[in-house]
Amino acid sequence: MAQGKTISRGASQSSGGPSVLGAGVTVRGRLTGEGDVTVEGNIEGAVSVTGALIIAAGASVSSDDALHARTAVIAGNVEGGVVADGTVRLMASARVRGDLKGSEISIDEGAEFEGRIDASFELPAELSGGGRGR
Amino acid sequence: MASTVIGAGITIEGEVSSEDEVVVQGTIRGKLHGKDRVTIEQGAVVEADVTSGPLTVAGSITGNINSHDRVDLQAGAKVIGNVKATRITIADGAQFKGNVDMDV
Repeated sequence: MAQGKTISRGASQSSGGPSVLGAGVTVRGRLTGEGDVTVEGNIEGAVSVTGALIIAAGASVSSDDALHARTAVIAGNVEGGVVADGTVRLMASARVRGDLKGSEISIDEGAEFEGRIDASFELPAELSGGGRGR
Repeated sequence: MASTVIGAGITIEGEVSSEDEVVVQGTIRGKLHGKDRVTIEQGAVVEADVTSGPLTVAGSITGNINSHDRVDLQAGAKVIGNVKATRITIADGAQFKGNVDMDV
């Protein structure tokens, strides 16, 4: 009965272990906290995590606010945008409506995206110098 | 591994519904509807009414429990609320305050 319990704890406990919301799960409300989160089901509400956020293919997240995470990989549906400290990647199966913000943004061929991109990378010297075009 | 794990660092404020097995290591405030097995692990905090299949508790639940199967309160569990279930076990070392309804 308790065989899986002691194993699944331990290593990942202090910083918050990985979380998975399976395909059969619906959350209405706010999900916050530490650790990596994989969403395979549905969330209607805000998501803000300190770890890596994965929205799997077939998953659906709709939020008034953008989703916040350290990094984000989106393969499912997102309404509300994504803000990451690191990279934001839209996989081919992604459908995203909202703004993307991160240090790097990548959008795979086939992804559907409607919104703005705000990537805070350093411009090369020849583009950033002189202040032209701004 | 259960299909759904709410990790120790995670807090959900709202309603969680699941068709499949759920393991809670973190915090849920609101409601928890599980159709299958639900496990509330040691250190987990559930401030919610819980409906479930078989329910195993080693953490804390404040709220009423309604299981269509059995409820096992393990040592270290702390439950404040009423329990409705077909079977119930309360281990030595579990804390429980509430009523039991076994629908006899």
